Amino acid sequence: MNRGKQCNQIIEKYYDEIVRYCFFLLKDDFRGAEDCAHDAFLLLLRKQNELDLEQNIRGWLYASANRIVKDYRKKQLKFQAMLNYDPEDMNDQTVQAEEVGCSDAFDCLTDQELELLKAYYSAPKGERVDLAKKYGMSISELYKKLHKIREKVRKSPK
Amino acid sequence: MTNEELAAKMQENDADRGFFEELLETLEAEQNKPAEERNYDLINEITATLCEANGTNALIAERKTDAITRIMQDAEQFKPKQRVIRVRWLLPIACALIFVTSNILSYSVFGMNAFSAAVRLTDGGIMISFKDDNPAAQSNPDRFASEILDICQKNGFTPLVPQYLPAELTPDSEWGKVDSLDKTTNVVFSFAHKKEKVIITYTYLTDPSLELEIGIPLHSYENTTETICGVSVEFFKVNDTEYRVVFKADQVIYTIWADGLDELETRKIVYSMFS
Repeated sequence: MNRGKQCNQIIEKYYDEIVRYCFFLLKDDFRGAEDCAHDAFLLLLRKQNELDLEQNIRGWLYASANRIVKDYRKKQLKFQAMLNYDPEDMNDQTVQAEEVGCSDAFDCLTDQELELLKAYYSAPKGERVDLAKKYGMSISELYKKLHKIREKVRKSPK
Repeated sequence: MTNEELAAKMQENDADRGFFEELLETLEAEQNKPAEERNYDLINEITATLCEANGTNALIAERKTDAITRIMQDAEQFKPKQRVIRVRWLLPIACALIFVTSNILSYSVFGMNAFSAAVRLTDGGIMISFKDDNPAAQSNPDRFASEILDICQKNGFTPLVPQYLPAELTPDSEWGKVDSLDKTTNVVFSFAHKKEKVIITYTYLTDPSLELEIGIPLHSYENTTETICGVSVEFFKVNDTEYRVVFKADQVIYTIWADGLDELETRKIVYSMFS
């Protein structure tokens, strides 16, 4: 396949995850993440004739993104920890105190949903992520499932 | 855990904080591994979850198309890696028939834009006459040839001229442009029709001892060399509809850019210059 076409396919395939990765490294600087991802893919296009586009190009992209973000940080002198975000900024991600009035609010849940919710909230630190594996789902799926369950509880008439 | 205890837990505002802290710790741990040991699927999954939580995924999706377009546009602005072709000068002698014949026959087999070619070897060289299976598309063989010859002769040389050009092509603004330099004279004939473009550049070496290098900006290409009538012709395929052809005959270097044409049409133009 033409190398140009290969590069186009690589960019389409990995664009989202490299931007997310840069965003994670830069914490809340989305524009910076976009710029760094842009530079990483630009580097790919410039070096396409020197690279093996079929072997571990994903690893190369992550490594390049790493270096580019480090340079970007040095220039920007900016570091904001994601943990400094205010949980209340995350709309609907947590249930407000007044919305779980009593334990009857859980009547709207299936047994499995209630079990999952209890397992999540009773898990000690460091074990919530492992719940995903235990319930045979990905971390994203676990998060989305919990979000859905919490929404159900929040909207419950009880 | 009782339902009452669960309700109490859920009322803690930073209930999810622990989950995200864990995700970040897992991510950091993965980051700290040597590059070859990192689980990029896990890294991707965690960053996707974090970005889903704060709405970043939606933002990425919204801006993705424009962002990729900007990447491709910026890539075009690089100074392209120049492929420098040193054109070998060969004495024009009686030609190698086999190369040309086998190439033409192979096009018929693959059923591309089929045309049949009658090839005759004569004392003077090769005669190639093209009979297009789509007669409506066949152009007047003298189309523009005499004008090209006339302009070149006025600038001191007699070149090979194309006896075939796709019928829909017409001269555009660059047609007949002459650029006389110290040791070379460049004459450009440019043809276009919608997305099709053919540019034939004649570089006449006014100093016959001059060895010229031609740089053709190409990011990626497939290169084949053919001998036509004793002339070594370099074909560069950039993609299925972009070709560059370079050869030197006598004191003239020929550079042909063909955009929007398939390989067969490009070759017909080139072969017709030797007929």
